[in-house]
Amino acid sequence: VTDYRSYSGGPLVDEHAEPPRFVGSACRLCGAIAFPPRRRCASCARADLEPAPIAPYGRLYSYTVVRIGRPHEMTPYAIGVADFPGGIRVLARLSGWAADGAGSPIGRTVTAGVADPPARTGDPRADFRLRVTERDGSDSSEAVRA
Amino acid sequence: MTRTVVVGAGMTRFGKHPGAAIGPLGAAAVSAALDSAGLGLADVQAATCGNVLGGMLPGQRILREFGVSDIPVTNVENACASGGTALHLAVRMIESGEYDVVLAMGVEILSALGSGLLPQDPDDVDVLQGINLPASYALRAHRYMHEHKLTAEQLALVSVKSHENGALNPHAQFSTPWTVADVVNAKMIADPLTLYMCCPNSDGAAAVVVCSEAAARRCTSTPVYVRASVLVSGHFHPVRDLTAPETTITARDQAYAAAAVGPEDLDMIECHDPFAIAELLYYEVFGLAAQGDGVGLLTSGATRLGGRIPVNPSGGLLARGHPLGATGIAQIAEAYWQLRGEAGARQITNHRVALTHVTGGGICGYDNGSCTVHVLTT
Repeated sequence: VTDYRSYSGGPLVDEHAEPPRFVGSACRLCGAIAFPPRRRCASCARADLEPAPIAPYGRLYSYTVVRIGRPHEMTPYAIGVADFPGGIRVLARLSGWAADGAGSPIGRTVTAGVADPPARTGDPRADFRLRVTERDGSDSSEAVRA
Repeated sequence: MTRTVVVGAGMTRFGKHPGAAIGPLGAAAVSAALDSAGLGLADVQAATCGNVLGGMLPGQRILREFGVSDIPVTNVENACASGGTALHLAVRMIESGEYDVVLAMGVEILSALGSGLLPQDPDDVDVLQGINLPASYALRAHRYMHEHKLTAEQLALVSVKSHENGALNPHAQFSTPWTVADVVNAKMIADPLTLYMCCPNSDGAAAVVVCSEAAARRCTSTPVYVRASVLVSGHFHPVRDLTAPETTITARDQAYAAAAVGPEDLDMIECHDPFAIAELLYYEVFGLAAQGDGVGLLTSGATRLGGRIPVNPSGGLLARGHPLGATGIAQIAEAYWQLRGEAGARQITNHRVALTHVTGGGICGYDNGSCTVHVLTT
């Protein structure tokens, strides 16, 4: 089978973990971890990678609410960028956060999520989410700085 | 190695040109550039052309209008830095000694694609998640607001300044000044960026003629020198400070070193301001203000026309407009006119050293995919 998409493996979120975790890639040769998973290691360029769970809690670094999208996209939707331990940054749509009337969510603790079933596309690259939690990130030694 | 000299510049007005085709639109800019240089197309030995979405052979379609044959033509796609890259290649062709007269062109017709968002790689994970170009700058803006207590009204001042300048530029798409209230009350595109904090989709073309020093002596007594021409592509680095764009930082270091100048030497900057937050970030990158102090520099008036260091005297991408492939060349045209004292109502006071800057983004894991910086002097 020849497949040249940027990623064509299984789900990018382990929904059975508690809390759910992102699944990235680890280089078997140099150990570099990445999310989204890579086809080649960005550190040593070798193509010998295995799935690697990402630490469960991250901290939201920035966000926006997209009001004007591409023709097939329902708006508005929120997008966030979050940092997870181990030098992992995830950009994804936000879930668990109401855009309008809420203050800035920057600094909130986030974890891995998956789109609600009606919104799933079947492409794991489009279906993962950053879920904004009620957990107080300020005392979490696992979460990186806001 | 010969230095490169800019000897002529021309551009069309940027804006909506319904029904325009690449060839005639580009030819209007080329004619103006050659006329200003006192040269004909028979003098041109090679040509480069920046374009993103116009299809095959845009440079040849422009030169076809003049019946030009045989010379080497190189078409360049590097997203919003396509025009800057076309000039960079032209400079390297002169410096190599192989050519004495090279034409660098940029052209784009976006109105034919309708309004709205530019197409991006459908296999890019960020794009699959719903990112688009306004949203990628909105992420930068919210982080900057979080770190430096910037308000939406302060962010709007970037657009207000650009439109003050654009109203004085006959080549600009927008000719009316806007107030802070106009900007903050415009339709929200991607929070916190309103429509008037976003550059318009534009049609337009620009062209410059560059020469070796020997060839330049035959056509001008007031040369404008290219002191630095830098092209970089950014590095893969997912965890980045969104308020410190490292692709431009790399290009800045190379350009300041090549030209042996620093921020204190500059008389003007034309920087890449597709969205209002970008200009504040680039004030800081180019050393006009410390990180976080960009808005203080803006509100001091230092970057307005008549200020210590005018930024985007043309109106920039926000007001002059942004026909992608043409923008980097239009910046060179603006610097050429300003340095020669030919910029009319928007002429800056001191005009010896100019810096121009465009970036092209975005792809997942990179700040930007392309960036050019040029330093020009009298």
